[in-house]
Amino acid sequence: MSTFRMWEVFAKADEGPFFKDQNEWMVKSFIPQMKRVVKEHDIKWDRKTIVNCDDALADRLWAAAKDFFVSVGVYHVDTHRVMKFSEQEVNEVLYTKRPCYMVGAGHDQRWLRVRAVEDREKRPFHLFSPDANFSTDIHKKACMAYLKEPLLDGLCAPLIEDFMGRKATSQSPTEVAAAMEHAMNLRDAQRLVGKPDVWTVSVGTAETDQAQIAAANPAWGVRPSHLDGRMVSILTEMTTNDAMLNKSLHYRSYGNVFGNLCGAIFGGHAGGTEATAVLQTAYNIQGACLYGSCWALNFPFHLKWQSTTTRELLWIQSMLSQAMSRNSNLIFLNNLFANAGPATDQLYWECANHAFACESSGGNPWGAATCRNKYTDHATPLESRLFHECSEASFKMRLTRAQADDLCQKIMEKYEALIPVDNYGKTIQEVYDMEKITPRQEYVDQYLRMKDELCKMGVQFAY
Amino acid sequence: MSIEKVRQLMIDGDGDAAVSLVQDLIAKGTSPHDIMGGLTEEMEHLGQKFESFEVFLPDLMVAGDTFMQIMEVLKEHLVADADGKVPATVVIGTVKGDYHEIGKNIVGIVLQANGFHVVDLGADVDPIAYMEEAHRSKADAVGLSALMTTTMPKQEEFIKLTEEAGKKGQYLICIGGAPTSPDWAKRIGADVWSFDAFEFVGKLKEALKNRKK
Repeated sequence: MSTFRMWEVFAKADEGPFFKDQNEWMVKSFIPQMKRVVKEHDIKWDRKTIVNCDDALADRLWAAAKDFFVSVGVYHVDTHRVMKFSEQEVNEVLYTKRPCYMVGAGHDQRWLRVRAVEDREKRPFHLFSPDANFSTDIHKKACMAYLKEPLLDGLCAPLIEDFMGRKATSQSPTEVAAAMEHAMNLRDAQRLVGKPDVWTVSVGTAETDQAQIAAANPAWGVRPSHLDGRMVSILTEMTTNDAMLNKSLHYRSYGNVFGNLCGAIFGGHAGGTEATAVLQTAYNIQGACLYGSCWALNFPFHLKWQSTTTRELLWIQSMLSQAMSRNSNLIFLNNLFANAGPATDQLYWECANHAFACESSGGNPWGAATCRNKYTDHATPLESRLFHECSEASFKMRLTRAQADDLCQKIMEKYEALIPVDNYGKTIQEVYDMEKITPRQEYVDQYLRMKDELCKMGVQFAY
Repeated sequence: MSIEKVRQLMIDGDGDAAVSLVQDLIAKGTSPHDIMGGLTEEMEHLGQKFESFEVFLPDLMVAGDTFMQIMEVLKEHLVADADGKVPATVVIGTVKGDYHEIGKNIVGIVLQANGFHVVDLGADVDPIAYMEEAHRSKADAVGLSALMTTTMPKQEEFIKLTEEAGKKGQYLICIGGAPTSPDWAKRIGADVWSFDAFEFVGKLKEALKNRKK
């Protein structure tokens, strides 16, 4: 069911069991099956642990996720049919999946690969991404600011807000044009900072299939093959549509090392923490089987706060990372969505905690998105820098999961009570000198102070 | 005691048993209004528990599905018994180009639990479809959900269209979704914005009350 069976997979959208709408499928299939697998596979969380140390639990989570995916399938909202996959089909995909890809080119070339739990050899892949909208007039400079980051292995660039004074709107010419401008800016920015061949996951501004296709151009836009990455979403929850299948078809024919973007909602259709962990893990299997994706971006998030840094969400990231690292060749990254905004201490604590919760569990950091993804220009490379430096420190220190949990518990105390507060901080124009594309001194001082505080907790940064 | 049993069957999602018991109760003289009152109270209670994550969306969905099955039975008796009160009607949907339904679905369930009549247009809803349904169902409010920054402009487009069609003010225009904010709502002229479904119910009730004054 991998790339070579693409059309057999697409045919499932016309042949599977019929449900008149998603709600009927949810009530009759998704919800009862989820309750069953959580119970049968004995998935339990103690409401305190952040970094899991129980290998047997991680293995049961993997088994539960696979059981759930085979039992439930994927609901196709356009054809109203369920695309079901047999266990044998799933096993074929899992066996044939490649555990590593060389991405980018020249001196920007990197390995994107599966890591092990408490991996002592393979350093994490540092994907920088603000996952936020930026004003069009500063977009290229913002891309340059991120590309300048020392640890950067890949970039998912900021999104463009407007095109020629009009808000980029889904399915309209403004979206298509904004996607093209995004791709052009990014290519320019890469050349200007001396990283022309860095792997970029492009382009976030293009929500629709037609905009993605329009932005693909080896001369000025998204490049084919291993040079750039793309993403196709799994719609919540466990659903897809023709537009998503179109994207996967385009990415495969264009040859990109593309991923599937998946975010189970804690408090949503799956329910509580344990079920959300099952669903999120199942999404990684779904992406590989349904879209033939080469990797997955995991962003399970909180229904109320739209963030990934609460206690239960960090446990989910830790669990799914271990479940997959121990049981599969599926490549994945862990996406950070913070509650707070730039230049707040809270944001730095959230970034640090997400990094330490994931690295020793076998994860790869992707971030950092800020202030619940609500406000334009509210993200800077500084918080991403700390996020990735913490992940690198965790690797360099050979932090065990038990040590990581101790550290995460201490960091959690710094911000847990602040999660409900609207603490959206400052814009990139306030934090950075956008002419020089460097952070202003007072914010560099704050960044260094936060590193000092982490050092006092026992963190040893790589440099 | 028997209404208590119906409430429990609703929570358990046992629609067949609940419907059968409700039919039995009505035949034996229990007031349909009392049954509905008990069930609405239970849904509100579940909604409160959901707000604090003591229960989750699947529990609410299963109970809501059973609630609707029971309502099919109660409907004809309630009409016959009507005391003139008409519940407010809210048309909801996710805007054109956006397929994310979870937020909108939660709003629908919570509104129903609070006694509103809800017309759910689903996802990828054309602005004209909202307007036509609002007219057809004499809506008191229209709710437009958007989960992507590139679909937020569809909320603005709907408000512009209602202005141009001379329909602005005929119903409240409510917006929501993860990337939206109070600033955005103010900028496009929406009547109600809320952080989540629970805040929305309170704000909508207040706005409807002010509108009637």
